[in-house]
Amino acid sequence: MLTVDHISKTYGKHLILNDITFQASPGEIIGLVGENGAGKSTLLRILATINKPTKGSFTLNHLSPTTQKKQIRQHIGFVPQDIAIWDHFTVEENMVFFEKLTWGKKKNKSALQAICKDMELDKWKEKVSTLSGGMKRKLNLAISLIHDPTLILLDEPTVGIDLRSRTEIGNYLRKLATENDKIIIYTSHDMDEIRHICDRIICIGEDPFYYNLLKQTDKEIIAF
Amino acid sequence: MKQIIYTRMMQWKKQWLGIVCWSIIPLLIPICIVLGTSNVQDDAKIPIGIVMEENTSTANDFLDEVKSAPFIRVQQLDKTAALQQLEKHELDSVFIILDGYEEEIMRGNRNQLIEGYHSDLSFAYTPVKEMVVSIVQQDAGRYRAVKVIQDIGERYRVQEQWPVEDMIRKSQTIQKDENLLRSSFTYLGEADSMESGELVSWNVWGLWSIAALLATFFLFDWIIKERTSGVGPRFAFFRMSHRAYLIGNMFIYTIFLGWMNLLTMVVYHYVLHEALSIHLFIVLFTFQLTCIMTAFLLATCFKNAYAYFGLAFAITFMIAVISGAILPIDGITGGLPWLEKWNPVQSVMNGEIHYASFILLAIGIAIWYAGKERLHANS
Ligand SMILES: Nc1ncnc2c1ncn2[C@@H]1O[C@H](COP(=O)(O)OP(=O)(O)O)[C@@H](O)[C@H]1O
Ligand SMILES: [Mg+2]
Repeated sequence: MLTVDHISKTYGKHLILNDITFQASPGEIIGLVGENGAGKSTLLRILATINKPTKGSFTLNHLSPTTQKKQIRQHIGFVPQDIAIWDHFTVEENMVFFEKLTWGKKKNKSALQAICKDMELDKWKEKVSTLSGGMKRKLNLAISLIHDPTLILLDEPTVGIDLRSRTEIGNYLRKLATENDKIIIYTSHDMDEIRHICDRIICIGEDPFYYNLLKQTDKEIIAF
Repeated sequence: MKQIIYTRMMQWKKQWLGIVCWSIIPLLIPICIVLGTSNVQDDAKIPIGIVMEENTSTANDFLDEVKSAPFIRVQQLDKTAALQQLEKHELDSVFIILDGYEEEIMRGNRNQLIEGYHSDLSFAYTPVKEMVVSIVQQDAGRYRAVKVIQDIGERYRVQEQWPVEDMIRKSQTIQKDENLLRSSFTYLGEADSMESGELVSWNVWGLWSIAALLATFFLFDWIIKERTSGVGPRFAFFRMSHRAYLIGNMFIYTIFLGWMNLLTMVVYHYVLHEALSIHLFIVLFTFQLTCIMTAFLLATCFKNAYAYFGLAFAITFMIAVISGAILPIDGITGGLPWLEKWNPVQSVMNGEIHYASFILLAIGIAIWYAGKERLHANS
């Protein structure tokens, strides 16, 4: 259970996030939308405990990021907006490398390979620099899932990739939430994708454009 | 730590060629330079034959004096062999110290003491002859001075006369000391190598330390590569902080380079006849640590590898110049003792353990480690 409680964030005098409050339960996918610079990445980074909110706080399974930072991080999987993998390694080497550094129970190679297979990333022995953008995105996601987190935060996981990979990632996230009881929060600019995959939508910023678009869906929309 | 070692080995497996090159280069460069130049220098020296018809101490002093001239390679042989070789142009010229050399010199006679031979291909006969003549004149002059002192002693009826031998020796030592002063511009501790007849003499550990500094900079570019790869934010979800990871890796490099220092010492012992001692190892290893910490702190400040390499070259070049490890200019640091104290290369060349920069850098690393972890923003 994720409880976000009146989170605000200012950079200098600039108010980015204003009093954000919501809850999310296991099995739920929440889409985060808003214009560029609205503060989507900022919110994700706060929930990932990488940045601190100026006001407010949140808890994940009753763990607090201020007093139990180390424990709470073990339950969080964060997929950075920029691809963070080793280009000179193969898919296998990347998974093994990051498995060594990630906490949690040890995973053997077949368990690591299973994560990749689940999202149809089958180029196990291939060097990352030869992979397509979609494959790289999948690997970027797979690495963040090695420690089996309960809250998965994805910053534009499908930006700039082919439709097929995008659909595969979407389907995988859906399956992950429903079958494995994960809480997934992700940002995207693709309205179709958001409408298709998400259970609820959070809209940040004052831009009425997104809000009006979203109204056409039957999903619950929370605006800030 | 086990994980850090494992992941570092994975990285090394991919970059083994670069790692091997940069760790071997500091070992090889001084060997190449020292062996290379000593061969070239030997070839460039003028081959001279000296025939000794008499074996007195004055004649031997003359021979030593000729041998110590930096541009000459002296071969001592008998007259027939010498002239044969001269005919075959294996010798540039031949000088024969005639029987009765000492006696004549003592009498103050400077003529017909030495016979000189040259061939039609002798290109250096005249300068060498000039040098030989000047040595004879110097020796003769020395005896004349002794004669004058003796005469004065007699005139003023000094009871005890100094032995001639003592006066000659004293005169020689004074001259030697003056030579030392004159040649010390070449570079520390090289004054005696001038006497051994080397044109340029290298401080092996000076060369090594410059090469090791540059190589360490190049070995530490992984910090920049890994920082700019965008992997930074992931460290929030790793067992160790990014800093601990970097420090752990620095430690692995330190162990590795420590072994390389040891290997270098052993190789130099056998190839270049350098000393082998625990003290020397400590000198080298503290220097290596100084390089590692410098490269580490510098690399963590850079996002652009080329800018980092540029600065690395500049620093290495500057230190090479002020140390005189490459350009022989002892004069610069001579005036600035504080610079010498802060220059780790200087310490290596003096065979001393370097503390000043080492301690400062260690404090720098501690401050860096204690500083607040700043995760790289990705938006
Ligand atoms: N470290 C920072 N310091 C100052 N301003 C920042 C920082 N990070 C982000 N911002 C600002 O906060 C706003 C929100 O950024 P971000 O969360 O990346 O937006 P989004 O992901 O929705 O496009 C932007 O105006 C950005 O310039
Ligand atoms: Mg963003």
